[in-house]
Amino acid sequence: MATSYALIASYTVPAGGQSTIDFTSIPSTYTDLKLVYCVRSGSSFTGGYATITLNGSTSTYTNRYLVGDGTSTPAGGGGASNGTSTYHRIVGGISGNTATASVFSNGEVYFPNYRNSNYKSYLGMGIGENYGSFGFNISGVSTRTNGDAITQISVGNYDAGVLLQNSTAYLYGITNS
Amino acid sequence: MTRPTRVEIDCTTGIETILELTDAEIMEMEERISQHKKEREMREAEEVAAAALKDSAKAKLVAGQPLTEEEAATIIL
Repeated sequence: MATSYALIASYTVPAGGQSTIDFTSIPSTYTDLKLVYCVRSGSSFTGGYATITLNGSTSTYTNRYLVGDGTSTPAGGGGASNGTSTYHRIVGGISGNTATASVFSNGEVYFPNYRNSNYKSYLGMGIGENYGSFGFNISGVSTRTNGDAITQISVGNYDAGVLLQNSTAYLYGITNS
Repeated sequence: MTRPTRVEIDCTTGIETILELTDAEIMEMEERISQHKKEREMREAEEVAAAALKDSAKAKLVAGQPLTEEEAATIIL
């Protein structure tokens, strides 16, 4: 069980939106990290994908995720190892700007042992929804095949639309000793 | 026209810095928007086709008519 769960930094998007929220200079004093986000995309779709980028790099990602909405047959997706596409950095769902007004998506990503020299595996789960007319959950595991400690985490969305006003992101540090 | 921006939050100092996207970042963003739109349209077309096949398979089953291989593949056993 974690002995410490501390808020490292947080951000709320103001009017005008931001294309990404980038947490930089992440301290090396924790064991694990947890990113919690609540976002809405400015793109013209109802539901899409949230993405993360580590240390400013778009290369060497692998992911496998499951998409389920409770009615259709669950779909899967993911990218091959050492992928460079934004597709390989999907971690959850996101509501877009044609969803009902004021609907935001929630998700979280857990980064265990972010400081060691092993490849970085992380678990993401996030929903996209539209006030009962649809909802979908994306759960997935990802690995960045690079041994660098995580010092930067960026939250964005797959098709690069801005994150709208009142979108939020919180970065927590977790210590287990 | 205002350039899109991103925000950097320095987790050590707490300082927030708003940065305009570069030309290269904006171009990449526009390509991804276009690419995502194409993928979405293709996926929606596939979903419509799959739903039509399922409906056809169901109707034929009820009517006792033979199914095509594609229609049969929509049945999960």
